[in-house]
Amino acid sequence: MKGARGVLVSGLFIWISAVLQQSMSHRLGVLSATPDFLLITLSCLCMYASRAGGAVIGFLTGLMAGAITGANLTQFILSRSVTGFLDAWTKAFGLDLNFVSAAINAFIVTVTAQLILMFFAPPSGIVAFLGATILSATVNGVLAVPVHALLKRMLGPQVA
Amino acid sequence: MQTSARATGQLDPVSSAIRTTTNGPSSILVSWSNKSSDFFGGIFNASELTKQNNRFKQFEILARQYGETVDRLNKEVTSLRALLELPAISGRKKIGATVIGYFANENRLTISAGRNKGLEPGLAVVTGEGLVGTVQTVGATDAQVSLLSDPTRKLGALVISRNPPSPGLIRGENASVLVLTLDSTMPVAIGDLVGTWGFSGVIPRGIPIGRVNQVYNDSVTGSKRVEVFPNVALGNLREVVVLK
Repeated sequence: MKGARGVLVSGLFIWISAVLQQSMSHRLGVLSATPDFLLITLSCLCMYASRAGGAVIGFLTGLMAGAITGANLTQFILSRSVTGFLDAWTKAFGLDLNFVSAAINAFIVTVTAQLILMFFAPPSGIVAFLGATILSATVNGVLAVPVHALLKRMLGPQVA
Repeated sequence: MQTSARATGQLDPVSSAIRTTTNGPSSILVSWSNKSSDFFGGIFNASELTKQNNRFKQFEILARQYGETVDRLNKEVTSLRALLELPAISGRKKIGATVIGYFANENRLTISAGRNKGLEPGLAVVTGEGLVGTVQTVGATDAQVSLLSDPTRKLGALVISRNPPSPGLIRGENASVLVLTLDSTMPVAIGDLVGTWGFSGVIPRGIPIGRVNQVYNDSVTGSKRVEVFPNVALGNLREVVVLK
């Protein structure tokens, strides 16, 4: 993912996911598992980004998440930036970009980001928080599949 | 920057700028989602809704008669207070707002009213069932509401089923459990109604909060830990009212 096209697509996806996170996330919950659209976007975009790019995408998704929830911006930015950097690094292991890897990646990204956030801002009920994180990560894994399909068309190698 | 802005009940410029770009589309999506939910709900529950509508029409007639009686009694109370030289109880302005964001982990709501509607930090946010929370930060056209379930915020509360009411402090534990701390000598029982204290004057007295679910005696601190089930289902809110 390079150039103006990559930046434009990333910016658009992050903005749309912020709007969806603010307005629709709690309405789309299944058995108290609510999707985190910003983390889905982070995980899918990082599959195409460099390490620095992953950190920047993480920074922006953290900024959006902190701003729309009214929470501490620093905690969200740090947790998402570190997660984005680490996720983009996993490309070095030569993983295939397919639907299964997108789903697993979204699951791992959600758990990692929320665990890092938990250390910066410990919640009152850690067990409940971890349970909600695992459920949310599962939903994110499922929703990452169509997002990945869309991104693959927009950012993947163009077939003539 | 964010902390200092929040201390004054304002939004920091960065969050404010981001919310300006997301609030408009979010409001449209929320409105569209509510309409489609109402549409399909209407199709599946048409006969029940017709019955309810007829019932509500009867209630409306009764409420109008009741309103006239309340107005007359209010005038009597005002004149009696004047006779006793007590200050008049100021009326509260009700400001309606739509919920445009709910963040369970952060115990916050975003509502579609801000400085444009005269909102200020600390005001009570309610529904027909009772207290939802208090306004935390106010933007130009939106505001963040700190929910009752927020464990970091405490409110004065009364067990209003008791005479005299037992006062204490209530805080959130999670979305379905609030914890009221009372002195061990205060009477309380399962099923009692808990409401706001109104000590500060910003939040009116007697707004229902929830009902007592469990009572534990803490012999070490000499206090009672009372678990309260909130009246309002915090995750299902669409419209709220801010009391100014």
